[in-house]
Amino acid sequence: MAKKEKKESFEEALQRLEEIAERLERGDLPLDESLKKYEEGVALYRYCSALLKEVEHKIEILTKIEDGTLAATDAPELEPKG
Amino acid sequence: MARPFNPDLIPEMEAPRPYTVTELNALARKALERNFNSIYLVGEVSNLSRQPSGHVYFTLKDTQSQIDAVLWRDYAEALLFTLEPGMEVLAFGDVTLYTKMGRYQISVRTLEPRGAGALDLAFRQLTAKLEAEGLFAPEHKKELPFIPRRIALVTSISGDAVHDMLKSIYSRCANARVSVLPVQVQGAGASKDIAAAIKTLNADGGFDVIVVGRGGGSQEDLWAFNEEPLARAIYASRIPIVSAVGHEKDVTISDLVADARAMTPTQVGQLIVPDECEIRQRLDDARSRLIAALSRCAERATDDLAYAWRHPVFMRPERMIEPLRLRLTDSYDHAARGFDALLRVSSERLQRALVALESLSPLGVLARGYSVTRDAKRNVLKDARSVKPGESIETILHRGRIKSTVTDLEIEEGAPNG
Repeated sequence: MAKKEKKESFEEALQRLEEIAERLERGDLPLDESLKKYEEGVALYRYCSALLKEVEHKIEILTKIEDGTLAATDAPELEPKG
Repeated sequence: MARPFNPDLIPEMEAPRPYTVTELNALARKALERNFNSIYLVGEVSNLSRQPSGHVYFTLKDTQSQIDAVLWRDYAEALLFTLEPGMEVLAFGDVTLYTKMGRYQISVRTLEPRGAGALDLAFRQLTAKLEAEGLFAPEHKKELPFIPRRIALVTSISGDAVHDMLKSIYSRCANARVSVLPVQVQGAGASKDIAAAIKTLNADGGFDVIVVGRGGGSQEDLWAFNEEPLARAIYASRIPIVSAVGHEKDVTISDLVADARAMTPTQVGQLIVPDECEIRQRLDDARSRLIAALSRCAERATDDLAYAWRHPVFMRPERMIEPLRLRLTDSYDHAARGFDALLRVSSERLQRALVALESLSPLGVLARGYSVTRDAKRNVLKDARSVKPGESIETILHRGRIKSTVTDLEIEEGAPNG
């Protein structure tokens, strides 16, 4: 399951999390089913939170080097002011 | 009769030396080039022919007259729009003479369509061409990632546009990784420069959205975004591309091919990054709902359990077997009744059998008046010949016996023997 989630985009994960919440709120699931759903929801929440943490704040300038690849240099001078 | 040619008969006056054809054409060429250098000429394009070498030959004509025209390869390539037959043009060039054929022509350096501007025409022509090829097809447009892990901005590092883009991104999302790949955004070669940048980013593979763009400017300033190499590079990109060129009114071909168009560089953030606060809010909401729903679920389960425990099955389990016991008793009674009946029938049959048996007993026969007679050796007598006169015999009656002596015999002739 964790492997499958790796491929899942943040948006899909968040959407599924919301669907699970809604499904649970309907309250017509058997208890063991509810527990399964809850665990799945918690996993999705953790996954989304991790994704949010994964993206760091960074501004950089790219330069093409001879072999056609790119080199990145931090560019604090481009930091938006105010 | 014709006389033989006599040179002496040519008039005495000093005759000019005759020109050779080559001389004449060369002189004519010089005269033309001297007098019709860098001229403007209006006319309608016809007999258009593009050579594999890249040179373009055509005729310029009006209602009464026409002139050959040539557009050498370098000039042809520099032309923004595509020359088409029937087009009214204003040509700028030099009149000359093609000496080999003795034909005079205009060698065109630039051309402009009459009526519309060259750029407008070029835009219309390229738009029509790329549209026909499907470069603007909505089904080809790629979806932008919801949270891009790495954003590439392909723009000039010197203008306002790059700052506008960055500001619009970071105002929505504090955590975004943005890489700027500086390019030339106007002038000759800008289109190819941007196209190359898109290819390089695709080759790198580490980016999940690309923004190409620049700030506002004149039509000429924005022209690179209307050129074919860039349009093709955008179309070929595997990474989704957002085009953000000039102001809202400036629609470029790059805007039409791109997967999404930002009206201005300041709108880029809205398109490519989610509102981080909103996202976090949604995430936390979903989590709270999840927890609340599960708690309710657990409460409900507890209630259900309590309710179930109050069920008679648990409170008075003996009730469960009540119906079974009733059935059992019923069956037993039924069986017992059946057995009784069977017993009764059987004993009656037995009684009847006993009576029948009794009637067969010799003693029973005696009671009805018959008797049995035996000889001295107690053999039952059935034939008179079994005894002789003088022998003692005994007769058994129902009650008591008689002893007697045989006095006479009457033999029944023909009676079976023994």
